[in-house]
Amino acid sequence: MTGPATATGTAAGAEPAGRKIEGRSPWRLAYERLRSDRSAKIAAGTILVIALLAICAPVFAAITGHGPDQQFINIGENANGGPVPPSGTFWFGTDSNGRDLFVRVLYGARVSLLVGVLATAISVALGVVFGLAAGYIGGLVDSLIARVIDVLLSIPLVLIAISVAYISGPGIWLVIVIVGVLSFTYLARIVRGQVISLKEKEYIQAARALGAGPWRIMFTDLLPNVMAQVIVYASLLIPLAIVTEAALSFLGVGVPPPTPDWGQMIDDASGYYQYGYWWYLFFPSLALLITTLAFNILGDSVRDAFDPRGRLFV
Amino acid sequence: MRHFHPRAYGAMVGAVVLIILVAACTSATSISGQPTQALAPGWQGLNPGTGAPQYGGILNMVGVSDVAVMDYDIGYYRTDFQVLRLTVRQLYSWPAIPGHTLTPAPDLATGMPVATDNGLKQTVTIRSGLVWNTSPPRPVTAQDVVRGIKRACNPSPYTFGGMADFESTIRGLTAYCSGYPAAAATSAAVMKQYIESHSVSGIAVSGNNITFTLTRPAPWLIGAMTLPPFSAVPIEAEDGLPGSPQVYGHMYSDGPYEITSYTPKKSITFARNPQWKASTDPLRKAYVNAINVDETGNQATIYQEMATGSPSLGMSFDALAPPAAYSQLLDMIKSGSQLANMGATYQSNPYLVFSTVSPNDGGALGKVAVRQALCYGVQRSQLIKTLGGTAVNIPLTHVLPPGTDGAQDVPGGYDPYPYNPSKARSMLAAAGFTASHPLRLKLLYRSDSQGNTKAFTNIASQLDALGSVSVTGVPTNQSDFYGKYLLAPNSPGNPAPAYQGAWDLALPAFGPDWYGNSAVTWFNELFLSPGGFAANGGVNFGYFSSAAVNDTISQALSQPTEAQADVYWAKADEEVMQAAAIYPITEPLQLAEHAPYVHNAVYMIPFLNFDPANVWLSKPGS
Repeated sequence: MTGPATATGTAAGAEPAGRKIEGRSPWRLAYERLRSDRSAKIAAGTILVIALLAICAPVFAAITGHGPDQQFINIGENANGGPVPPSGTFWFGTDSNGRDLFVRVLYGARVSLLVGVLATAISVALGVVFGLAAGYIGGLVDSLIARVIDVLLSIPLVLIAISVAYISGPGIWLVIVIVGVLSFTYLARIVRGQVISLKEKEYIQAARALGAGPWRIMFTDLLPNVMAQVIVYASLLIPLAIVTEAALSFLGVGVPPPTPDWGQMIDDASGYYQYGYWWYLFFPSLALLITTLAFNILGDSVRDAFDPRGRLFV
Repeated sequence: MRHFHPRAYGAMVGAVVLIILVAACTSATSISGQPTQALAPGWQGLNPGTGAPQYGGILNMVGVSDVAVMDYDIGYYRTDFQVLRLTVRQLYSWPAIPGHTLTPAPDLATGMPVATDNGLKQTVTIRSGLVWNTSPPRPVTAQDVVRGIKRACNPSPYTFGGMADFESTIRGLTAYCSGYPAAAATSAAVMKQYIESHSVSGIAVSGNNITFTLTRPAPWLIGAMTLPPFSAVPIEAEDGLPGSPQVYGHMYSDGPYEITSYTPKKSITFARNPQWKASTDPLRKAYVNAINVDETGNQATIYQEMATGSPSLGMSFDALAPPAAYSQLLDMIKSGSQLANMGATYQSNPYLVFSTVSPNDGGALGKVAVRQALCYGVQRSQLIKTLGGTAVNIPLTHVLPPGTDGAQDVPGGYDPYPYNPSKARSMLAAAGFTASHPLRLKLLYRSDSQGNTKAFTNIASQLDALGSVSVTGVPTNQSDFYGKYLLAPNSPGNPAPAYQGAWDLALPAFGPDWYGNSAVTWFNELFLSPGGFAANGGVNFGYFSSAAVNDTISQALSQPTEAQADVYWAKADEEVMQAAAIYPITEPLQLAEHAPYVHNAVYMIPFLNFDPANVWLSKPGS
């Protein structure tokens, strides 16, 4: 895809006079496609705002004077111990323990982003390593990794997560590790498939002829050529990790209280909203919705940018 | 290829926002948020209906959990009591008459116990004409009642948890219970052989009379006779181990209903017992034809659906009103609704118990001063507020709540631990715990209970605010809370979780086994050592041990009159509080609700629910 024709009347596809003709790398092309994508810009902006809010959560806590775990039993609960609605004091209202829901939603963003990014990083690292090894080495290694992946794919992630959390006790790092480790399977398969086709290319044969070892070929010659797929998949994995973490917390095996967490807030609020405490469910749900939607849209845009014809991913 | 456009993005967010708001608003009820006017505890909306009570229909009950054990005389939980109310009769039980629900009345018995020999003998006569629904029907005998008492203390995993209440008071019962052969724990045949060939020296049967010879006068014994061990139990119960499928698969009944199916943790169904005669039962009217219990409900939705009049939900089985529903239920009561009820519980629920044997932080909680410091660091009024406010919570500053004799002898206004965070900090500092070296505590709580979760959150917040304490939650569910943590056996090779430091603080609840003259149940169960330890059938979860308290309990039990005993119960109360074995919080009032077509719904404290054996339906369920 080239830039739009200029107003000078240049024929479509022709370079304007005086502009230097230059080759553009696939990365550059992808970046330019992304820059021209309005959805991507809105989604990225949304994510940036969420990240800033998460980083600045202590600032908002200081402004409101409400710590994330601080209970305001006298003014933050009604006469029957229920949450109070949004007001000038509590912008999003309070939760069932008289805590400032606005501050907790901001702190909850930290957990969601932390889990989303770190779990994805683990997933990508494992997926790349196993995918490269399976695709390049092949044979027994390929079969072994394929069977491990088959086994992991045959068991629902949430079921494994619940079992592990039940045995070892819930915790944020446990969630990160579980989601990260159990989500690498699809990426490993994608990388493996790409590597199998790439390893027969001339430049790989040339590298091999020049005496390059398998480590160099895998990580210097092959890895850069599968990074587009890795990035696309990673961008879609982040919202999946966020939602999985929220689901685990909703089920009581994720981030333990009192750490602010959106899934946990939604779980708690599910016993309250029917009785008129709408804000309790509304704000954490909205935060989760906007965050995952923004990541998903950005992921889609990244995919379109790298693969405008939709050949690599369906 | 484009999947989302900015407009679609906005539209999607907007649509979801709208859906959430509409869902919340359409189901919302008013939240008064206003200070609740004083409501008398014990408010009872009978929903009398019009005309004579109607017989027939199916009562559908929905709950969130199962009975603790499906059996004749072992159950020790309110859901167990509720099932027994329908199927198995005790010597005495509770009348479903407002204002009289806490006065034991004859059930199997024909009248009140007759005391002789200066109160050292009590004789009970059982009714004639009662039959089991066996094939062919067989009379219920006094021997069936004795079988129940003997079987209750069996050594299998399912033994009656409240034996400490009365075991040492009935002569020979302790020796009988300790005489079970070890093999009886796993062999129904050995258990049967022991029960049928050994007798309790202090229990004699003559015709329909059962005479109990006591080790000391026990005017409170009639209260104990309302408990499951004083049920008639047919000999067929010995075909299997208590609580096993061999027993509950063929449960016989001498009550108005028989169990037609039972799927653990899923459902129970009851139908009329054709052998039951109303003339032999003064306590149960048995209006409905059948009762279906669905145990797979959800606390919040049960109370949301209740008022809709759906035939599929007439009453809750065990789900207590969630705190989120309090405002709505209190508003109903204030407006005179006959569908809601606020009743006393006479419970301490929840209370904070300290594990005195936890090895954590050098066994800090074994020290009285550390436990006292923690008590000073918790403000009860905050907990009361977050647990639903003063409208539904009576502050409890010591062991015995109102409703238990002995409470009246505790000095008025007695509160050994008024909120004093400065004192708490200084006491903790003296014990070596500071901001740089905080006391680290694990607080065990039930995350499937709104109230328990709120109590945990508030206590953790308050103790953390001291600066020298750091609290970590140990969330668990209802069954694991007791089964896995608090009531787990303790043996040298397999120490209980309390000894392992799996928890330091916990938030259990306790209610007396009967009411009025019932202080013995509080102290023998909660504070006696070692008799009250979980391994010995009690609920002394924190393994609290005090020779002084043991001695005072013994003195209370030796007093010839209840009034004299009450003085010692009050003394034991203060001793327990001085030793900071527990930190009481509240005696809650219980809010409950039933469907509009359910009438004569009498709230019964033993099962914190309306009595299903006495309700009638104006629109029989389907």
